[in-house]
Amino acid sequence: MIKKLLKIEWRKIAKNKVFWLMLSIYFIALILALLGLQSIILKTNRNLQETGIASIPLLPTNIYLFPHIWHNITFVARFFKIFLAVVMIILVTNEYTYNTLRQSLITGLSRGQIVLSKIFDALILSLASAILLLAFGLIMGSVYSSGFDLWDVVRKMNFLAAHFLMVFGFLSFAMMIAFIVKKAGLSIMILLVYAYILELIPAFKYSDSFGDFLPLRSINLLIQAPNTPIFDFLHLSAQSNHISSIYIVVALVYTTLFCLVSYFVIRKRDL
Amino acid sequence: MEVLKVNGLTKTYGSLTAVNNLTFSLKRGEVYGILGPNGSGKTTTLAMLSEAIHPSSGNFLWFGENSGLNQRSKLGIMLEKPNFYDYLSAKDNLKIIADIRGVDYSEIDIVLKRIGLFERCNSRFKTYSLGMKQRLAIGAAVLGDPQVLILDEPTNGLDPEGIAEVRDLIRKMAGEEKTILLASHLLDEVQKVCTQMIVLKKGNIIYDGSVNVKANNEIIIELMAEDITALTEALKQSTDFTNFEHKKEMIFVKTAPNITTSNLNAYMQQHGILLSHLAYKKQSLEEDIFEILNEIR
Repeated sequence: MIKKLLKIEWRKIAKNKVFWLMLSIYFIALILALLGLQSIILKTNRNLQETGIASIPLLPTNIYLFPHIWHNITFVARFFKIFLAVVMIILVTNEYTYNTLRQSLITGLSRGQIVLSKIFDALILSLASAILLLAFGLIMGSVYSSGFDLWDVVRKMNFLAAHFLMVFGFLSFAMMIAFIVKKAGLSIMILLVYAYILELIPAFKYSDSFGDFLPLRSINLLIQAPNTPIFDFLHLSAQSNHISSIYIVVALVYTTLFCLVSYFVIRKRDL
Repeated sequence: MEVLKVNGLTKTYGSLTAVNNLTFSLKRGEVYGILGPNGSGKTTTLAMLSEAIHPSSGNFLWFGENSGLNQRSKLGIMLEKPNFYDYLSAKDNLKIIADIRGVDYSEIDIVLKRIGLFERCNSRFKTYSLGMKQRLAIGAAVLGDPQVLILDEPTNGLDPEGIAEVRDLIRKMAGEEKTILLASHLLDEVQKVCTQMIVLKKGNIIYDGSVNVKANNEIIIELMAEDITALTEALKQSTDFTNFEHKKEMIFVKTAPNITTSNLNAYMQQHGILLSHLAYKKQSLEEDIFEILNEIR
């Protein structure tokens, strides 16, 4: 049954030009950002020192060194997952646009299978993103790190797993909105406003209590800012070189919840 | 053997009752029509039977079981307008349908030829005319040779040639022991294709029976005379002709089949009325239906 659903999803995606275009834009934007980051950091360090604000480099001088490269690139990738969420929203709302939810259902898929297909889409997109970062990390890490120590290469690869979970959680949230709202444009607006405005206010105001456990905030906290002098300087509270297990649990709970809500919405709705 | 049993099926949207308390059943091999004007609840009914929308109350059994995936795989359904991925070709869209139903791809070409889309099967769906889209929807319904077909306005958007082809196709499938439920707002279509029908009006069943049986029940005789008042008076005096209608200059008398025009003529002569027009008219089913529709309205 899983194979059948994956095959059907692949048929829909394989010839969907808009999907491939959007996915390419995400990948290219992410890689360009990761490539350009080093020179931005070096320039910032130089500027800060020249203007006498800081006597020591506030940022790491090489972000591509094993094992920290995994933390660095997944932290940067955190800010790009919104593009992937847009792809996810389009995949779901397409089914409403073409009214193919109804067609799939009357042809013989169950409501549960319809939602499960989209959960698979989210899983595959998250996996693709993690694989892209793995490839990028291996290449750049090998180029910039002196010597080769296997332990150094794999030591912080758990950040890739955290990245996968973070992206999957975020995509399930986007999927849930798309299933509820039906319209692509409106879903994207709601996601943007919620993620970048609505949730930030309580997350900031109640950061001492439940603020860090709001859905998107807690998912983001899976990968926190790397410990560097600049973030100390900016009084950034959420920085850690470790992945805290509490946020793994919270992210898993929320992701399950988003998938369940999607399912119950579709189960109850007339298609 | 009963294929479908519908029991008190009802769908309400707020204060609007789209489908009200439908009860009917479908036997194996029957070609059943659902006739009704636009907005009478045909699509809503079929969508409920396809499980696309949830009934507000009532239930239905396919093959004697509460519906589920097992039953649905025996049904070939097309509802309202064709719903396909517009960036995919007919062939790719049918491949998705075949994947869902677990049908071998070799059947796709057969179906494409049967619905007359084989030449254009690699063009994208969005480049198709309405008629071609409609054919593809029928193709999707018949792919995998399901035992039961649910067809909602299958000839919508087709040209006369296409209409004839689709009706032929349906009749052919009816000959193959398939059970067919066909919704249409065209009486002619239901009469040409179906054996049994229900007539829906604002969500209510107002007729359930053979597509022909009603037509033989009543006979209408048209009457005209110089003195129309005397004519009506004469009709009122007889117990045989109490059921009559006065439209403009003409009087329409509904009678039992044993009354003939000569009976009536003789009766009028006894009353000294000279008829200027006397005609026997077997009421057509269409008029019957419109009459039923009018009665309810």
